[in-house]
Order: sequence, then C-alpha cells, then structure tokens
Amino acid sequence: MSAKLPQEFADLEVWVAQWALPTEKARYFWLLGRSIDELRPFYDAMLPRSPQIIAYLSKQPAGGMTGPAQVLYDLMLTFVETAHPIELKWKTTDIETPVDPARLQFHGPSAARYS
Amino acid sequence: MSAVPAATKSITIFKGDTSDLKNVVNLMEKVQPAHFDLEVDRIYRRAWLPVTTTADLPQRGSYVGVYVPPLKASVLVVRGQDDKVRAFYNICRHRGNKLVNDGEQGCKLAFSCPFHAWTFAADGRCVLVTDDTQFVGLDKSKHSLLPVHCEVSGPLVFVNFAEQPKETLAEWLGDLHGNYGDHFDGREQIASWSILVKASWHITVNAFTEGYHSLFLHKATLPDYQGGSGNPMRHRPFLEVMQRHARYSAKANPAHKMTPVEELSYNAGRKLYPAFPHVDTSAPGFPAGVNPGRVDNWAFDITEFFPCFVLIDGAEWHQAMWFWPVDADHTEIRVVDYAYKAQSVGDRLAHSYLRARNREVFREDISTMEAIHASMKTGVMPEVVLSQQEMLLQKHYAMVERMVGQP
Repeated sequence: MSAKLPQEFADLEVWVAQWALPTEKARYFWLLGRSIDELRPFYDAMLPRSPQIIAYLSKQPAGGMTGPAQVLYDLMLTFVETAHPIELKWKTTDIETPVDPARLQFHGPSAARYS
Repeated sequence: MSAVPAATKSITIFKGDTSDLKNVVNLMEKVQPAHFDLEVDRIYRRAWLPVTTTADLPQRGSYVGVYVPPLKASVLVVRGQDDKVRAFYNICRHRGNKLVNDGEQGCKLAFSCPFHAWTFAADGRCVLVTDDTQFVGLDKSKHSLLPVHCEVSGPLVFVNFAEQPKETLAEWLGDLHGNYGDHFDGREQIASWSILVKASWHITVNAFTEGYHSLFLHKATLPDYQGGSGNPMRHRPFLEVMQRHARYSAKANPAHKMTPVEELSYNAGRKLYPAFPHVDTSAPGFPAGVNPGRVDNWAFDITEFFPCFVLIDGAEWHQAMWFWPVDADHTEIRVVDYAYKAQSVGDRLAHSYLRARNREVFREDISTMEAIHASMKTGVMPEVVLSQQEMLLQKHYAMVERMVGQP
C-alpha cells in the first residue's frame, strides 16, 4: 500500500516511500545510510515547500494527525532532522567520530512516533 | 598545592572557594579498579544521587524504574496518591522478582509482581498476597517494599543508599537547592539516548563540564553558537565552585547565524539551542538558580551535581545527563532532553530540530572518552593539566579526593 500526501503536495510524493519515516531513530539511521549527494535532492525539494507544509500542518490537530497529513508530517520531520549535514556543509552525512553510531540506543520519544 | 591564581585576560567572573582545587590532577590513579571500589563505598553509597526528574512523574501513580549501576540496584520511584515521591528497591517481597522493568515509565495505582501477583501500593504497602491461606504465619504488613531515602529538589528526584544519610538533601545541594522556582515546570521529554562507553565515569563527566573544547571539537556542529569577536576563545562568563558541586554559564554569540532549517523550525515554534532567545533573567522573581551570574546574552548553564549528574539548562529546554559507573572501565551514559510542552506542529518541528542537532554534538563529546581512558591505562602519563576554564573538573577531583579520603 503506497502512502499518499495531501493533493497539493503531490510533487513531493516521490520522496514518501523512503523519507516519510516515523521516528527519530529511523530518520537517523536512514540519514547515515545516505551520501551527501543522495541527501541533497531531498533537501532541495523540501526547503522551498516548507512554508506551505508548515501552514498546512498547522491547521491539523496537533497529536491527532492521520492519513495524508500524518505522512506529510513524517516527511517534514525527516527533513528537519536530516538538514544539518547540508546546512553545516559536511562532506558526509555523519560527523567524524570513532564511535560507531549503531552503539547509540534510542528510548522514549526518540524511539516512538512523535506526535 | 596552592590555590589557583585569578585568571587574566578573561571575561570570566569566578565565584566560590577555590582553595582545595588543583590544576594538575593524577587521573591515572582514579581510573584503577581499586580506586573504583573505594568510590563505590565512599561516594556512591553516601551521596544523594539524582535518579529521575519530576517531569517524568507528572501525576499521582506516575513511576519510573531506574537501574543504578554503581550500587547494582534497581529502584522504583513513584509519585503516591498523596503526591509524595518515594523510592523503593524494585524487589518483590515474596521471592525477589522485579516489579517493573528498568527504564520503564508509566502510571499505576498499584504494582503487581508478574511472578505470583503479590501487589504493592504506591506508598510501598503490600496490599495483596495471592492465595494467602497457603502462607503459614505470614504478616503482610511486614512485607512492604524496602524503602530507599528519596527527596525532591527542583526538577530532580534524588535517592540516597546510606542507611542514614549524613546530610539532608538540602545540605548536600547547598545553593543548588530551592533556587530553580518554576523554571522547569511544564516541560516534556523530546529525546532520550544512552550509550555504554569503555571509559571511567570521571572522564565521561569531564567531557561535559567545560566549554574550552567547544571551539575545536564542535567546529563542524556548532560553528558559531558561542564566542564571536568579543569572546573568541568562548570563555565562560560566570563560573562558580560550591562546597560539593560546581556550575558555569555560557554566553550566546550575538552574531550567530541560523541555518535555513534552524530558522524555519524555530520560527514555527520557539527558539532553542543552538540559537538562544533573549531572556530577561534580571527581571524580579526570575529564579536565582538560572543564569546565576546574571550574565548578558545568556545561553545556558551547566551544573555538575556531584558525583555523576550534569544538568544543562536553557530558556526553554534542558538536558539531564547521567554518567553511571558500571565498573572502573565502563560508564553508561543516559541523556534525556526536555523542552517546553508542544502545543502545535511548529513546536514539534522546533523540538525535532533541537534533538537532531544536539545528538550530533553529543556524539562528538563521546568521541574523546575511550581514547582518554585508553591513554590513562597505559600509565605513561599519570597527570592531566587543567585550565581556569576547566575549573569544574578541578572541583570534581577535589571532591573525589575529599570523599574517598573519608573512611
């Protein structure tokens, strides 16, 4: 079953299957699995649409989103949580660190749907 | 060793008695297993230890299960029907099973053991022994949960594992007690991470109690949030050592440039780290414990609650950090981020931006710990040297030596 965005955001539908992720943990590990070159088109597609997305989501009941609004919300949160490597001009999607990110454990709101 | 001389060429205002501080510390001896055993007995069995926050116990019946590694003890912390917060060993009085899982949070009227359904009220009383006619001579009233000393101060819930604590919590905390007002009220969890690192707990605490490193270690994640032309080395504007604990404030860089997504997230919600809203902390009634030095362009405070808890508090968010020693060579770090309660989608965006950016900074902070620990274990460099800006570390080790020196 393919998830659908609200009709006015049909141009972003192409990102839904892989980028509309439900949790911080899922977004984080998806980000780490991408290269900067894979991340950039998503960033470039989302940034100019962000004002309209925020306006649309702001009319939805906070915490009670379902259906297309929920998919758009997940997509927007993924955008917000994966923008920093582009904006901070990193060469990769991860910081330079000897600590394997897989060692980090996610709990509570970092592991659950945030709504 | 003499008292530390006053710093020069710095904006830092130092407060407190520095006479027991040393700027050269033998770290090697403090990462040895024999020293660790003394620390467990003389620090962790005596100190008031924060185990959770009042934000995680919002209503009557709210509870958390917390494992306290240095004591190898699991604790059940619960807000009773009388609103009092109590702590108990998380041990069923029948055969010793755990009543709740470590890390579990929720809200219950009573705690029923999954093994044989013995049930305990939130005040610890045993209220049900199933099939009780089969127990010969059992007096239920003698099988209440085993209490652990527990008190609340500000946003934190503390326990003390001593049979009879030497100090009250107020005495233990000194000026950290009773000075936060309503600053932390109405906050909610927005992120929670943990990691087990192969490093002494000292080294892990030390990574978060100085700002000297931020210009270098965090250059990729926080290029301009502090410092700026008036404070290029990001000196702390205010730094205070207390009888047991220590804290400092950080100053925002007025020239901080928000990135596009930082800006849209914080415009949709409220401004959070690494952008800092202007707060009039000199206003009458503003809590004395927040921005205690009343520095201008205030960004956040960092407080080490000795021995192993660090609180980072900003205007609309705070971060609780536990550095629980597992043994001499391992520390479990638990981080919980809190922010003002979300009322809108915009607030959720702001929270999400904060947690993602902050997570990367946190991971950078972790990156030095195992290397330092391995270096100390070689034994070739027993001592580390500490700057004036690293005075919280100086205080940490002065406290370690004081408490370990008391049989």
